[in-house]
Amino acid sequence: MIVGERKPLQEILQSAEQYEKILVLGCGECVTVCMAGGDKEARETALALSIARNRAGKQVQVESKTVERQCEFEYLEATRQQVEDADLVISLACGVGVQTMNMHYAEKLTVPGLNTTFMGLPLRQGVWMENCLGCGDCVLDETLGICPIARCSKSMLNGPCGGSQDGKCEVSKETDCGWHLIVERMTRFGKLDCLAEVRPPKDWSTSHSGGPRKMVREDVAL
Amino acid sequence: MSNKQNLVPVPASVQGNASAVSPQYPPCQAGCPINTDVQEYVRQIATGDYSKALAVITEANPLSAVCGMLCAHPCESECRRKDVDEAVSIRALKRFAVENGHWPEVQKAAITRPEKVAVVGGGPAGLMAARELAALGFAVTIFERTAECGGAIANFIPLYRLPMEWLRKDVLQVAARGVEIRTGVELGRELNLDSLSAEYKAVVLALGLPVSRALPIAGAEAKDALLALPFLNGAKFQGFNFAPGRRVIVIGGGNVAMDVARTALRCGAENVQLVCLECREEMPAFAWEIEEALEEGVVMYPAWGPKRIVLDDTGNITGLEVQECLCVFDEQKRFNPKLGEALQVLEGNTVIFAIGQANDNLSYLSEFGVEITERGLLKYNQRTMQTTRSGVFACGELVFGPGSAVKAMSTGRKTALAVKAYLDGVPFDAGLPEPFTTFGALSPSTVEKVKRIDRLPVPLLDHDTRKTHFGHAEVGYDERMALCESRRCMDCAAGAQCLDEICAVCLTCLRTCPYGVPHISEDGVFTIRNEECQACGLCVGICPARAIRFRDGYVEAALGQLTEAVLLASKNGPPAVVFCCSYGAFAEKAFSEYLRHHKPANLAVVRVPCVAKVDVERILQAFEQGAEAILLAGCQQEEECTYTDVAKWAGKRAARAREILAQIGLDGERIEHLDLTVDQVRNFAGVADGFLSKVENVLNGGGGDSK
Repeated sequence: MIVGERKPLQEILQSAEQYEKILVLGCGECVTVCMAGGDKEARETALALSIARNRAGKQVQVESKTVERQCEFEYLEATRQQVEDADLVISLACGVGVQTMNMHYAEKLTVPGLNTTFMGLPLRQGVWMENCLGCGDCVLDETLGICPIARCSKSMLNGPCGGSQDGKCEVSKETDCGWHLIVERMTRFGKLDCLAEVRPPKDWSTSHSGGPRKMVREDVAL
Repeated sequence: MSNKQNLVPVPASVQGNASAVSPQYPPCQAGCPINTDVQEYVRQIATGDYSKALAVITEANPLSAVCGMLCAHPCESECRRKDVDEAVSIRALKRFAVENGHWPEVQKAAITRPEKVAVVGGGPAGLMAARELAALGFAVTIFERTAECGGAIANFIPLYRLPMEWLRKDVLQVAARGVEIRTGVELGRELNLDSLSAEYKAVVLALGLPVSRALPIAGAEAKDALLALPFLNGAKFQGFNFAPGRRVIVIGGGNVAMDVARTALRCGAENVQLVCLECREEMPAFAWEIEEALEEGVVMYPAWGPKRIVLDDTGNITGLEVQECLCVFDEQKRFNPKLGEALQVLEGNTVIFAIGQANDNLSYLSEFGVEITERGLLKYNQRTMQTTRSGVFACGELVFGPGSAVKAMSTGRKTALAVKAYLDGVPFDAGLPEPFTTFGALSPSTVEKVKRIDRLPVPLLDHDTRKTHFGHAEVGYDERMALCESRRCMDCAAGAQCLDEICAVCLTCLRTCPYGVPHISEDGVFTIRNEECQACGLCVGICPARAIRFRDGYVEAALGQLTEAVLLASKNGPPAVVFCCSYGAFAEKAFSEYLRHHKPANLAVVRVPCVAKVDVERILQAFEQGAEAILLAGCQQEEECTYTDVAKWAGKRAARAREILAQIGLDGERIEHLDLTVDQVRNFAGVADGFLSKVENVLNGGGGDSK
């Protein structure tokens, strides 16, 4: 899923400074699951905004709402009235949701209240880890299920590099070296020699490096 | 009264003649023959509102005080706490509420119906039928043949089990609801059915089983062979005392036999022996009655059947010959005692039969169209609850056989509905399924995780003391005990319920719940098993989708006090809010006293059923409504707290809220979280002063608010 975290409230307050009627819009999918932009966070954010502005003696009217999935036009339609009534929408969805809002309600400004951090999983409650970069050409079969693109700080395909020490990455002692994990796992499966195979260079055009991506499926397209 | 949002209130569902599809009720409530909302009143006791608890009890029960003292408490047999350790001591808690709550002011029911109804017999069934009929708008009169209402409870229950003032208190309440009570008038003497029917459109016979049965054994005619009920009545009202040297043998193993044996001790018997056919385990008396009788010195001979009363030449009793009983019931579970060879003679000079009761001779009714069977019983239609004379109903032990007061009351309640249906000219069927369905046992995996807390024994007078007089033998719980015992209630199914349409299936609750209530089935389907929930509320406070609600509204109701409390406090200075626990020491009278008389006026105190139920949103809401500072006052995990990890989670919520305040430029010092000891709660003024002076410091610019 997409993981995010709410922007510092100072930043949100700043975005909202010129506006009096504000809608804080949560999303019921990924950002709810990662506890950053669901209904709970939306209401807390709205309350915090209201407290801060009232204490500063500035008028504000803050509402909050959460839609099922902010990256779907149809779900956004269900909140039209509140959006139209507001001067500004602060979206707690990921960047996709924020943009969907701006596309669907082109006349209304929707600003992000959340930083989209990565695609990953909850390692345990309260701890999320990145493990996919969406490169568009999955190599997990070659590395026995550990992604060198996401888990190596340099997205190397021929690690580990010299910065790997005691299984940790030189970037941070908190970060496992992805290639160290890959080597360990391939050793356990008796497939270490597969790494000796010469492979053609990775085609990065499928990744964001190839420019903004779009996908069409004729079999389902209307 | 109750906050249950999704539950049908009692009167509505019952009035519907049990036909509607019903929600599930806690097992205690479903198991109570009159469906008292046990969970609600136990919770009210646990949170210190004894008057509300009593109001819940009296709403359902016309003999609230009586039941507090001696109910057979089938609720406790159903209590799911018994799967963990032992059932909650519900009956004793009811007594606590009865003695410590303010009795509600009852209103006389408005008479909205032209028909009058007569209830003959003022025992539990009659009192209930009359009260319910009055509530339905009928003018009701009870005709009681003795000097006061109560039936067997008034006439035979010994004073050491029930001081009369409590029964009288209950009866007065029934009268206050508009039921007319005429005592000293007896059907078959001053009254007959024709004269009654002339004035009353329906008559309810609630005549009970007031006649003691004896056994046709040799010697039964002896002068000192007595019957249980006249003996008990004599001891209760006529100051009966044995002459010195009476050695009493009681025949019977039921509750009445225990009453007789224990009363005999108090009437000066030199010794008391008790003999019954059943073995100790099969004795029909309640286990606690048997225990208490044994403690007082009654010697029991279970599994012996009386063969003959041994008399001397002058006809005086010298003993009771008894024969070994091998088993009481045959394979079809019918009463069919099988006797062995062994015989013995128990020495004694008084025998009291306590082997069961029967109804009066009812032949006087047959000339008025009420048919009586060959065995002298009333002919009765179980479905319409009527006798063979139209408009003449019957209820209680008279038609349902011997049983508890609460069972008798349940038949009275139903009969009231049958009468109403009859007078409305609509059909009635008492045989339809009961509306109070419940759910099954707690799953073993939950049982394993629930904290064990021992049931508190109900204090009794020392047995050597209590057996010398008729004063109330049971002392009952004091406040501290009642608060501990009531906390043992597991709030079955009152807690977490998932709103599936909002749930993001994030599994946060599954990871947070200490009891494994949220669950993924073998098929991979996620559910919150409401009936397993222990109502700690940790999941509600952490659910990012706000998709978990309590099935019962009590938590919302408690938190909902915030707005008004802040508004009130703000009239007296910069308001500060205390969210405090409402259990344990916070439920004691001392704390209520503090709130009522000594609390600083700008302090808003919101009592919640555990501070872990206060989430970040609620804390922010307080600030939004004008609060300048918040104190989360929890309790140090006391022995009686049933929850797990609550202090940890309350601490995390406070920390998160501080973080948010800091981000909007307010000093984190404005939020404090304390886990108070019992002593600190009892001296809350000190805690409040400390908190308020800190608040003052923040407000005077000493804190870290950004300018």
